[in-house]
Amino acid sequence: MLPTSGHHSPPPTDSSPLSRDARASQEPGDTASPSASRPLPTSARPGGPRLPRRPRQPLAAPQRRPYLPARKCRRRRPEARLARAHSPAAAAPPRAPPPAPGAMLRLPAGLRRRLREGPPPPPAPPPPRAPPAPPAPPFAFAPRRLRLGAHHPVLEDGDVHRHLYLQGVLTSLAEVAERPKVSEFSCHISGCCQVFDTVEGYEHHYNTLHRNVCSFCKRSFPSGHLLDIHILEWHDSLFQIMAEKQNMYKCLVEGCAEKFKSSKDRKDHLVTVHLYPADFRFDRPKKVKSGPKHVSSPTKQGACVPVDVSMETSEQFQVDPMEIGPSENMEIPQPAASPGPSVPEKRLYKSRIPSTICFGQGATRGFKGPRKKV
Amino acid sequence: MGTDSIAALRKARRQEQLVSKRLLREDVAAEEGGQDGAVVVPDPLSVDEVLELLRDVQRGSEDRKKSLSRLRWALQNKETQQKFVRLDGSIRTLIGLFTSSLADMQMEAARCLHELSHSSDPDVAETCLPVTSYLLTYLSGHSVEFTELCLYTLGNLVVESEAVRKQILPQGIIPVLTSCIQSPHEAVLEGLGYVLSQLLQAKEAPTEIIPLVLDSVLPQYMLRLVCSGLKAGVGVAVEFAWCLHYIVCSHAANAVLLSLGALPALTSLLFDLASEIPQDAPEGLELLVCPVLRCLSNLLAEETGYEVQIQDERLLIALFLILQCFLQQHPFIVQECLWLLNNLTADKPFFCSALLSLDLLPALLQLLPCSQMASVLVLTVLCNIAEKGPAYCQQLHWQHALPLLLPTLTLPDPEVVGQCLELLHLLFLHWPEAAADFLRQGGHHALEQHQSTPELQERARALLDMIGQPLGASAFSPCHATLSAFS
Repeated sequence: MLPTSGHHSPPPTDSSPLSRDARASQEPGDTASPSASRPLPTSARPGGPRLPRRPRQPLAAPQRRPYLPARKCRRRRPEARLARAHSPAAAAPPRAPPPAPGAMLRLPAGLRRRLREGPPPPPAPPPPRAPPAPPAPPFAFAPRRLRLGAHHPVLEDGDVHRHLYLQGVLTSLAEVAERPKVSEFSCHISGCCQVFDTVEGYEHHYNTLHRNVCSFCKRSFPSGHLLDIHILEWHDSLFQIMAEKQNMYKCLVEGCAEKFKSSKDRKDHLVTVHLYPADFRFDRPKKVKSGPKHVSSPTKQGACVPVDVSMETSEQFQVDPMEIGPSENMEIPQPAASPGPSVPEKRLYKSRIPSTICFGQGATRGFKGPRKKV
Repeated sequence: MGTDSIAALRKARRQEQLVSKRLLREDVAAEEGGQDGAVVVPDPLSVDEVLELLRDVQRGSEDRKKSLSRLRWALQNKETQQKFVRLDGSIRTLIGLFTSSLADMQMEAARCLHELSHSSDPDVAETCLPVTSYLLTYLSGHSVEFTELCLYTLGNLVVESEAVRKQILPQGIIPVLTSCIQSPHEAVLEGLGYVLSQLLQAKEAPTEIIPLVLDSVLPQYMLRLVCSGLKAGVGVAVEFAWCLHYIVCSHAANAVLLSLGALPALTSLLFDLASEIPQDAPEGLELLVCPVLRCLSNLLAEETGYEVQIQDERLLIALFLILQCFLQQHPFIVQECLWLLNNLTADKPFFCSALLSLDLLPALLQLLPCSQMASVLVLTVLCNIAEKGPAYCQQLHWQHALPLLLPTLTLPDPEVVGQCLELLHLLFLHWPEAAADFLRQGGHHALEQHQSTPELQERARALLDMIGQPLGASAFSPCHATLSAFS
């Protein structure tokens, strides 16, 4: 759908439009750079790998006044924001001396109105243009549109301003517009008692908790992609038969179209091609080859197949291994870790949300089935 | 602090090592008893103390949650971070909690990882390598707050380490972001824009990352989110506008953006911005204006013919209104605006003529003394106008450009003066009356000063010759014929 740039190949570097003649290439960027003697960044760089090192101290300083994208910090009252607008920190990088005194730009009246009025009538044809002539030496000016690359000196001040903002030195942006409030309502899905006061909040809740739900086993999935794979591999009676003849195990990474003979092959693929960590939860040694088991009892699985036995099945969908509680992973470094403390929390959690529902706002985890209890 | 950090940023930029990270914290100042927003950075812990914290967290005692919170607090300290990541199993422990079923532990573990991602020590970022696949998996769901935290953690890691970038591309970050960008939540979208902007700044982005982004539906969404910036969230629009800028200035595939209608969309956004901002522009809007101007400038520099579509004098009006708004608070906007003005006027008599007829020349001339960079750009725009021929030069002359050019000739900067000489040449060439007037105003004295400056002397002498000649029209009117004879 997207047109390829194929034969249209713009000049590859930003210097090319400037290089038609040497003198003109000096303006406006390079020469305009405040210190003409400063080496261009490109020439200053050795060919080696970029080490994104930052000068430490000065840049660490902003930590003391962090940018706080957290909602509660971002929503400032407008008055407060405007009051801060003139704080010294908010002043732009003062490379350029401030414009001449009384620097309010004098503009003809009525410009704003003209802008709002919409497109003007077609303009009178401009006065006839002299035939373009090449500049006569020693003059060299020739008009040209400038294409600037990311590291061009003209862009330095703006980039610095952007990074001051990222590092939290500047005051943060205008507050986010408040969502229109509606009177509180609760999710209509039976068994879900979440309450909302914005439509958006409800939408997201629904999308994450109730949209990708398996209609057979009522599990909820973080994405439609994983739900599709789950249904295919767990509830499609033809799947096992087909899987014996052709590759049926789809890659779990969205956007990858590969299919595999077995979930083990898929795991290998995930580790080698998608660079999933070798100790990703898929990758733990299987104690039991449970192929036949999950064929015979896919419905039981949610209720009583012990986690450790069903590694094969837990590979059926990506998040399944991730649902396994912290205690298990931590048994690796610290075998003494006990699953004990997680139990009360789990119960708390369950009392609010049906146990079959995973990856919801309230649940903040996935696929916690009754299996864990076993 | 301000000037120090600015100097450091400039230095880093010149070395092409400018990276920044964002820190997402609850209001720690209030929480930890700091005052006036000054966050108290905790003292470093000893290795034994860190180990004990880790053990507490692993052990799952009753107050594991408390231990984890203490760990999160302690990890604000850089030395503690370094000690922590060197401990055996420390990251695995955090991953275990991060992927756990315990909602509050999971959140707290995510905050610990986020603190680590903010470290400027590349070793710390590298130890977080195993985290990325989990971060990506959890982007697909969960609470807004959790997703946001994952996004900012990813964005920080991405910019610190090429190894991380090399890993998350095969792990499928682009498809994940593609589904995430459909979230209705501003906080999620802003975080997503942050991740993308960090990715797109990578030095390998033009070859490795931008093609993947352009192959996805992300550009459409990005464009839409930028252009709805005034109605939806400005913070979101800012992030995606910088993303667009990084794509556009890489010149990797601007045809794609042009075919998506980027030029008319951004033009119309500029109109909205210019017509809706009050004179005292709200803080932060310049962060949106700047990348939008850049995208327009670079897209207009493409040799495509798309620029014909935007022959609209309102662009000039918008530009000057924006200049007026930001000139005092954010002088850097001047060069950004002038760059666009150059690209509009370079080969379009339409915009040259509109600038004159809208009476914007005085405002343009007012920008001459803003900075060295501004001077050169203003003079370049004036040259663009003058180059269009006698009628344009006549206008420049009648609108009193000359008296303002005289002081420019005395500036010490040879680049500025050189550009001024170019302009005078065009004026004298196309409108001899300007030369006569220049002489009357004593301009030849200013020219004589430069006869000994190597890079200026030839042009200064040539101009002196021009004004020294008898000013009869016959000497000048056949100049085009003469010039074409040269070519």
